Amino acid sequence: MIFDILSILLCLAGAFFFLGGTVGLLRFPDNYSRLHALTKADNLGLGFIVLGLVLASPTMPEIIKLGLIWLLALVGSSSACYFIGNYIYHTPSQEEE
Amino acid sequence: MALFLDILVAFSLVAIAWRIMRAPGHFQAVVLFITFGLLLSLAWARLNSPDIALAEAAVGAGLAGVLLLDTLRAVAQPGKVKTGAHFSWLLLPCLLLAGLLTLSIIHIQPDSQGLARAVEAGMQTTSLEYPVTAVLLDFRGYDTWLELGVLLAAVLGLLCVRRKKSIRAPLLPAPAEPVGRWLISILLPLILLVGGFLLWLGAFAPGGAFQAGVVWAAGGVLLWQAGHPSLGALPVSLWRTGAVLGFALFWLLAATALIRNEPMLTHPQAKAWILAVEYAAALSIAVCLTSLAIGGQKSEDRNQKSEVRDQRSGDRCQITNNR
Amino acid sequence: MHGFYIYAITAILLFCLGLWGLAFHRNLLRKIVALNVMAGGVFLFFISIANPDQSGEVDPVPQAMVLTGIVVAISLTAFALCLARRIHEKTGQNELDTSCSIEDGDG
Repeated sequence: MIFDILSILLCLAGAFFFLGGTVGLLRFPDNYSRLHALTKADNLGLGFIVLGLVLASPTMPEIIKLGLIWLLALVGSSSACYFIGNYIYHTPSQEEE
Repeated sequence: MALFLDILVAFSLVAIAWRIMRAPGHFQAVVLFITFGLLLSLAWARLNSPDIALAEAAVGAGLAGVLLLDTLRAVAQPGKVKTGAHFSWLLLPCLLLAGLLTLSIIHIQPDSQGLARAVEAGMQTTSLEYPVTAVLLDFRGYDTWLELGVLLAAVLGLLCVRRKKSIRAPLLPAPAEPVGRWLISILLPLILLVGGFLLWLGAFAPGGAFQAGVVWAAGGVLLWQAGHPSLGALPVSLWRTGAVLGFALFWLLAATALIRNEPMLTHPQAKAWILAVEYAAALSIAVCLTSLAIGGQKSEDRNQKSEVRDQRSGDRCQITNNR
Repeated sequence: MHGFYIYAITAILLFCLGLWGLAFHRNLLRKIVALNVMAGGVFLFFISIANPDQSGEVDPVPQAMVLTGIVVAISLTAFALCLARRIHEKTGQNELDTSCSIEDGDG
């Protein structure tokens, strides 16, 4: 019972961070801060959701898989962030929309 | 709650499709299409089809995105952003068509069983335990065989259009930045592992040759995008063998069945046969999709020069003429 | 049963939007994207009708066919994009020039 409530709370916290990241993506003025919002807030949100799901999941293999998914997403999003930032930095600046 | 989720997914699918059509920039449209693929895989998950969700996430969001973005970069026309659009009044007839089709589905009484019972009855005769894989590789082997043929034909067509003799694309030099290499050293073993796991899973759970092949193809494309020389180091004959292996094995199966005076594509009741065909199909799908993704790259210098000469002779209507 | 109607109507809308986009855009890349949206609609309809009450067993035959269809669609897309690229190389344009007819120009 307590685990259920905790897991729901953690998932809600994750959803909140995802929402924050999305608002940042939409509202921030330039590409770098948008990237910042997207990677930081979303990774944190995903971490919370994974934690919530770990509390709700019954078996060990599922927990390991969830942890692996989180790690993979971390690796993917941080390197995607690097590539996008690198691209923006090296291309001559154009007017932002 | 579930209904709400369904409505949300459905609404965002339609909204994104609308934005894809209306987006002013091509880049925007392509990025929206990638999002569309991800949402569609969510819809597959909602519809209890994890196999399709896996394939769609890798194909619709991954490979299609790479292909479209690559082409977009290759055909970019600086200073010419305006989309030449016409026939916008056609939206009305299209919506009318949608209304008519909707009217027609109201009267459908979906047969909730469909062919599920027939497949269930057939499961006794096959050595596979998962119905979707059994349909793909055993009951409807023709579909998979000819699908491998379509893949092979697409690769050959691409080679013809690009005027290349070999599938192997000219590979970029290894990247200078360390992050790309680091990413590959982490992701590639994982991709190989996940593909193999999906392939192994296919015999008794969601997964199988298609998903594994698509995941491997994504790995191949990643390897190429980062400029890793390993794909270029493979001998061409090996690459060719990989591309035709699945089709050839199905062909062998069909031929031996005919020789033994049995209906085509029936095979001995051994798991080894089916697994061999499945693994070969996965390999062929991976090799063909990788070739399709990276084969469309720039041809060799010699060809480019001849193309420039072609262009200089000023036949802008060559395509219409050649029909 | 609701699930069937929701996804079937979505599929129809996707198909029709894609059809419209196919006619609406001159740019070949956009046409190919529209074609893919259409394909998505067809697949979605197929699966939604195979799985009307969203519970338990799903008919495996449509699933297998859609899996095949997805791979065929991506190979078709790759080939179409390759053709579009070739057209761009030859003509410098991203659209089929319908104003040129067979009569003018000697190729």
